[in-house]
Parts: sequence; structure tokens; C-alpha cells
Amino acid sequence: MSTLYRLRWKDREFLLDLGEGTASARLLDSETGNWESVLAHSVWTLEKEGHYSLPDGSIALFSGGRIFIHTRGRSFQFLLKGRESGSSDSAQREIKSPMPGKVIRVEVATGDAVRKGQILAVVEAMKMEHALKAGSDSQVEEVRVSPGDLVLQDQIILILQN
Amino acid sequence: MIHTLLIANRGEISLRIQRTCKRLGIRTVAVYSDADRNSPFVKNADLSYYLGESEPSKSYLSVPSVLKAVRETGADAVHPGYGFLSEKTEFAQALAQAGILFLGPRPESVDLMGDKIRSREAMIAAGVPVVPGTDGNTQDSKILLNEAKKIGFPVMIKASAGGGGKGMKRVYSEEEFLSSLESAQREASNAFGDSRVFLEKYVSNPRHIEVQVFGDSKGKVIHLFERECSIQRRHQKVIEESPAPNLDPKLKEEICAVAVKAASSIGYLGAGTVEFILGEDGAFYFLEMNTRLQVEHPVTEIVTGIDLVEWQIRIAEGKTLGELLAGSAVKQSGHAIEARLYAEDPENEFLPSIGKIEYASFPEIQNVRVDSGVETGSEVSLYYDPMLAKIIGNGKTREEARKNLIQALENTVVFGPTTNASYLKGILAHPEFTKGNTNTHFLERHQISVGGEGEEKDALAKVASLLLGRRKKASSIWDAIGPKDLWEIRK
Repeated sequence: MSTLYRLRWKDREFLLDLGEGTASARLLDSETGNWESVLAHSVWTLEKEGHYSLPDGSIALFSGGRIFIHTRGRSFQFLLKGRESGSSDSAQREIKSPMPGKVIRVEVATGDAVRKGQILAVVEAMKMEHALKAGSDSQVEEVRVSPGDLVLQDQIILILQN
Repeated sequence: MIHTLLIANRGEISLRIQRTCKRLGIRTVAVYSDADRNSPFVKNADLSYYLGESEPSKSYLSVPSVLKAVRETGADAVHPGYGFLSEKTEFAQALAQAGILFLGPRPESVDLMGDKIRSREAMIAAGVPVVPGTDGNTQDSKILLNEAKKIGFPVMIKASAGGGGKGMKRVYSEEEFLSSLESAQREASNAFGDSRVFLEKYVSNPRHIEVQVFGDSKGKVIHLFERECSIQRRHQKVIEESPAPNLDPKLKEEICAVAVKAASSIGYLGAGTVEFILGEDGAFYFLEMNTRLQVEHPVTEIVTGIDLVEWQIRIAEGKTLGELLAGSAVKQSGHAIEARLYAEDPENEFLPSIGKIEYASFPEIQNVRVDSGVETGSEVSLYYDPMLAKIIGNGKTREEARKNLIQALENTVVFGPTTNASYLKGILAHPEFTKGNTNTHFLERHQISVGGEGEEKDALAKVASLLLGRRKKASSIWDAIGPKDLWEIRK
């Protein structure tokens, strides 16, 4: 099974394809549109919940939908924007906020028919906007927030019905 | 003798003062606001006292609240740190009236040096060079032209009522003086409704050199050598070092002697810093005097081996410099460079980056000192200065100190708020910094690199391996990976 992740670092977005093997991965640079293979052969040690380390001194932390990594003397913060899975069958119903933030826009209303990939709402957190998109063609069953609302991580923004 | 010292400050400087007090067996009192309730400096003190709301005016800047804290905790001395109440005359006076020792200069010195015009006059009277200029009383163009010639070109014409760079003109020659004067006066009149201007010598490519001084109650003043603080961004110091690189030994001696003269002339007591602007031609001028311990004091401590806070305490207790020195002279040996770690984003206009620190780890390596105010779990709030820590590298030579500091910055990990660590490293790695070619325009003129493409790719590869590892290990992989059921696209 191939798994894709959307990662955001500052204002750049990367698509990471972990492939089907164990150490093969490739990266799509949104600026160039090119796939590039990356060597994903580091073996991380789990230190404690969410904390990892590498023998070269690199450390990483998973927290609140973010991946922090300190490597080669520099700290990075990637936002795990979401993933796309090649083989999932589960229908998307609840659209949740990826992290604590503020609802900037709600672009649909109850009863609207939406297309796969259509932007449903926009949440802002850490000075960045996140568009919540429909995972499939569906209908809006319920909208639970209004623009300006503060939301918690995983709080349901709206519910879709296939 | 001081038994209980109240530190009217927060963060790293409170912790730094506590370190010395612990060593000397002095009980410490930390004061805190709502935002700082769980800060390391509160937990580390022997006693803590709640001052008030997070807004500085309702806590750290409130003289009545701090005085109440002093009374109720039985403190017999107060260290103001830097900022907040450290240079407020009324605070020093109120403590003096209450019979509480103030670890700072006499109120009169605080008052005098806080006034730009009066301090300038006092320094002129003492024979300390100040930036040549006029006082604003003369507005006659012929007289001003004569004054400009006396000062020597280039000169600055500044609006008396000015601020924020408005109504300022730089004039390079006698020929253009009168037309520039006219236009400066017109601009000043339009902008401020006041056409008055004054002249000041324009010092091109200046360096900011300051001298640490100490005075005792017997009127003796000595210097603890200089610090170079030219690396500034928007007039905020970023990197400080001692000794100043590429400074002619004779000139250095002269600057230090003038600093002593300046402090002596006002009967200065305790720790202070005399700041100078140094021109390319070797001429230097008094800028201002800071009547407190400064942020950058650690570089002086490292090269002189003197604990400045201990000296502040001893001098406040009445010890003389002669007793503190015990016959030996202050020596400057080795080199120290300090970098200020801020929670700000160098790649996004240096916007302050607030929030919870998910993880913090500072280097514990030889020849590196870290004065930090935060730890894992600390909250960086919008109420206060976003400085997280000061990291100081030292060595026998400047090059050694520079390399140690770079290594220390590489081993500084802060997850959560963005920091300027890479930017600081970029400054230290710049060829002109390496050569010691610094002046106050350094950061405007030089492109500072915050890292290369390679680092980013390396980080992404490591993220990939981390995600792969988690996918293999977790029982349900989706349980292990952050937000659930988001953006999942069925194919």
C-alpha cells in the first residue's frame, strides 16, 4: 500500500510518498513539480511517547499534528497537513480541524452537494491557513461552526453524507 | 550584609542573579505575574511572590506592587535586573526611603543618565567627547553653516521635534548645506509644526563599543574593559563580544580611560556601562550610560573572571573596590561571544513567535555558557521580550570562541516557537564577521544565510524514515499518525 503525506514547512508544501517497500520514499516538490527519491533509511529510536532519536544526534517529536525535527544543527517544524491513502475504503464523514485555530471561512451550507477536492472551510492556525477539502463527492449534512469560531484540534467542523 | 534579595525581574536574568545568591548563601525572592506562574525562575527561587496580572504595568512595572512584595517577604535588598524598573528614578528613591538596599547606582545617577540633554551637558563638562553638534537654540542659517564647517562634513540635520527618521538630512559638503537646511526645516515644519533643527556630526560606518565600569562608595571607579556590540538589528543588539576585535590597543586604552572619567565625574556607584560610538577615523564619542547590569554582561564575566552580580552585592554592602580586588588588577584574557536566542522568525520579518515550548534542550558543552529562562513546557507569551536564552561561547582566541558558539547554537533545540538560532549561526559564519569587520550596518548590508537546501532535504528524508518506522510498528498505523480522517481521498 502506498501512502502519501502532505507536509508543510513554512509556506512550502511537500508531498511525501512512502511507497510500498520498506525504505523507499519519494518527494514531490510543489515548486518544481518533480518527484525526487529520498533515502529513508534512518532507524529512529523511540525515547518516550512521541520523542525519537537517531545515533547522529538528530531528535524528533510528534505533537499536535506537527513533526518537529532537529537535524544537522537546525530545527524544523513540519505540519502534517494530512495524508492521502491509495487503498482506504472508509468514507469520510466528519471533517475535523487539524489543530487548534480559528475558522476563517465556511464555504458550504447544509444540503450543498460538494465535489471531491472542493474546499469546505478554511481554518487558520499559527499564522497559516488550512483548507479543509471534501474527500469525495458528497452532500453536506451539517455545519457545526461559523467564521470566527475558535476550534480545538479534532473538533468537528462539518459532517458530510455520501 | 544582605540576607534576602528580591529580584524585581523575570526570566533568564532572575535565574542568573539567583545563581550568584545561592552561591553566596543569600535567600532569593522571585516576583511573578500570571503569565509567569510556572516559569523556571519562579520555581528556582527560595520564595516567590505574586505581583499581579501579566500586563507589565500591572506587575513588573508597578512600583507599589514591588514595594509591597519587598515589605511582605522581608527582603532587605532589591536587584532590578535590566529593563522594567532598573532605570526608574522613582523606584530607586522609594527603596532608599524605605531603607532597602538597591543594587544599582544612586537615584541621582539614574536620573541624570536617563536624560539625554542633561547627561550630554554633564559629559561635556567632564571633558568626555560627545558627538559634535548644535543645541537647537540657533536657527540662523549662516551660524548653522559655520557650525557645520566646524563640526566637519558629513553632518546630519535633524528636526528638534523629530522622531522616526522624519526631517533628517545627511549633508556631505558645504555647497549643498543651505539648500538641505531649508528643505529640512520645511519638512520639520510640515511634519511637526516646528521648523527647528539641530546639527550633529555624521559618523559613517560606526562601531558600538561600550565599557563596563564599577564605582564604590569611596568614589573610586574602575573599568572592566570593553564589549563590542556593533551587530544590531533595528538598534537591538544581537551579538556581543569581548574583547572588541581589531581594536587598536592604544585606542582601547583611551576609550576605557574616558569611560572611567565619565563615571567618576558623576560619582558613580555600582555597575554601569558607558556606551560609545567609534568612527572609522578612530574618533569616539559618548552615546549614553546605562545605569544597570546589561544583557551582555556575561562576556565581560568570562574574560575577566569576575561575577558582576557578586560585585554589585558586595559594593551595595559597602565593600570597596580595593577590598574586592585584593591588590590584583583586573585582567582581560581569552575571548567570549554572546548570541541572543529569540523566539522570532528570521524568515518572516522577525515576527515574534509565541506559544508553548514543546521541547527545549540547551548545550552542555565545554567553553559554552547558557543563561536561559525557559524549559520544556514553558509558555512564550506576548507580554514580554521574546528572548529565550543567551548563549555564550568562549575560547583562548576569538576564532575558538566563534567555533564553540556555532557548535552550541547547533546543539540548541527549541520545538514549538520558531527561533533565530540559524540566523545567529549565519551571522557567526559570515566571512566578514569571521574577520572581525563589524559595524552597526552589518546586518543591513550583509546577506545572512539561515541554512541551505541540503538541510531541508535531509530533514525530509528523516521525516520519511520516521513515518515509515511508525507505519511498521503501530498496530493501527492511522492511530499513530497525528490527525485522523483528514483529507483522506478515496481513489
